[in-house]
Amino acid sequence: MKALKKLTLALASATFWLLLWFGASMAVGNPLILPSPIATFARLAELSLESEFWKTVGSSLLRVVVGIAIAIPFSALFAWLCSSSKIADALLSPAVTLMKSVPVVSFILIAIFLFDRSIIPSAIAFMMVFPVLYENIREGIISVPRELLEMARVFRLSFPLKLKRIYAPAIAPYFFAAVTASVGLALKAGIAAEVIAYIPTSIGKKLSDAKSYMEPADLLAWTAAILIIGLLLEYLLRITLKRTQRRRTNVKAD
Amino acid sequence: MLRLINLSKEYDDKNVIDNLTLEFPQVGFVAICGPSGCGKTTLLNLIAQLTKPDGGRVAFDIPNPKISMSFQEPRLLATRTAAENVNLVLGDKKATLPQAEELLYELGITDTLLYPDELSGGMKARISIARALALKADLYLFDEPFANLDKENVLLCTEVIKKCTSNALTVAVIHDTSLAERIADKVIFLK
Repeated sequence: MKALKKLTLALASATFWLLLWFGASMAVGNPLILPSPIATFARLAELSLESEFWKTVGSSLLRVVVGIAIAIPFSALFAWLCSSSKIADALLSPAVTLMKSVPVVSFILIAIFLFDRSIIPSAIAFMMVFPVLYENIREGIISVPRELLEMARVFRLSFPLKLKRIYAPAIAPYFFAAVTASVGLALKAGIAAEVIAYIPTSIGKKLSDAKSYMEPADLLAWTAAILIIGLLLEYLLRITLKRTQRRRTNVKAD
Repeated sequence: MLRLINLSKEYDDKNVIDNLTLEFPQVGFVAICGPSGCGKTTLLNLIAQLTKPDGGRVAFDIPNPKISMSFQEPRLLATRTAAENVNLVLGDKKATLPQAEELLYELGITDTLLYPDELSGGMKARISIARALALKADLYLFDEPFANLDKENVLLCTEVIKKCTSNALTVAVIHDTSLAERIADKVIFLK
């Protein structure tokens, strides 16, 4: 019943915004400036029938996922280092602050000078995800109860066993929350990088072309595609998070 | 087996343990009694090398002795079942799980698949005792092992502890002096 109420509310909200969009497009009265939602979704349906569409979506998604996948072990390694060494923490903390504060567009423009264009979206996705993951994993490591670590020390538990039974359950909720929060950021920043770096076979290039060739329906259709991909990714992550929580990830000392 | 030589420890400028020298037998059950705040838990933590002394030292006759401990609080993993918590010190392997379950049965815990948040304080205390006993150690340390147990379970746990630690030294902090005098081979009073 609660789920039905939630779904009804979500549908009502979506309908409200679609109607607002429809009203605005009617008011503008020029599909070259603001196409209606019907025209946009019709174009999206048309695009989705082409194999080129899926190839483009797949390539963009792969670039972002590569960036996230590289950020995961790196952030875990640095979070571990920084939670166990004050020197490492002092060294890395300005870099993390820099990553969080510098506008993403500056990073993209610097990256164009430094790297091969093809790796820029992955590098930017990495830059977006790394600080969020790093800070959350570090928080998870710090949250491990001292009493459990003492217990592990007395019983001389091996490092892999401590990692598996004490650290991993403590870090898991922080890690999944960070991935869920940063995946959307990575997707948006990765695609922005594709636009600026004009990466072949990418959603960014399609957006850029749509703007250049004055095709607002294409522009909005690709934007809707990004929105759907982002929502799907977040949904999949939330399901994974729920499943892990069901497996009792709370690592308090009882 | 174990000697404490001029051992001192202070917390917040207060001498909790002050120049303590003690010698323990190779084998046997030694109870440590004393009023609250006299440093009983600190003494066990010093012996377990969980905290460093401010003066003196803890000496063992054998190099690198195996120490097992049951803490004042159960310190169980909330994500593991009763049996899995005990099995943790046996290497967390499937093959050793029956051994952990056996120990729990001996201590009167039959539902070994329950998680700590589904257990009473007394049951958690017994799991903590079982975990300490699962490890074959040279020295067993128990910090108030009977604090949350009823009379019947105190008797049961004492029996199992004595049986499992018969070839080792056991040092237990026990608040109840009369109980300590009944079950221990030697009682040490801290002031």
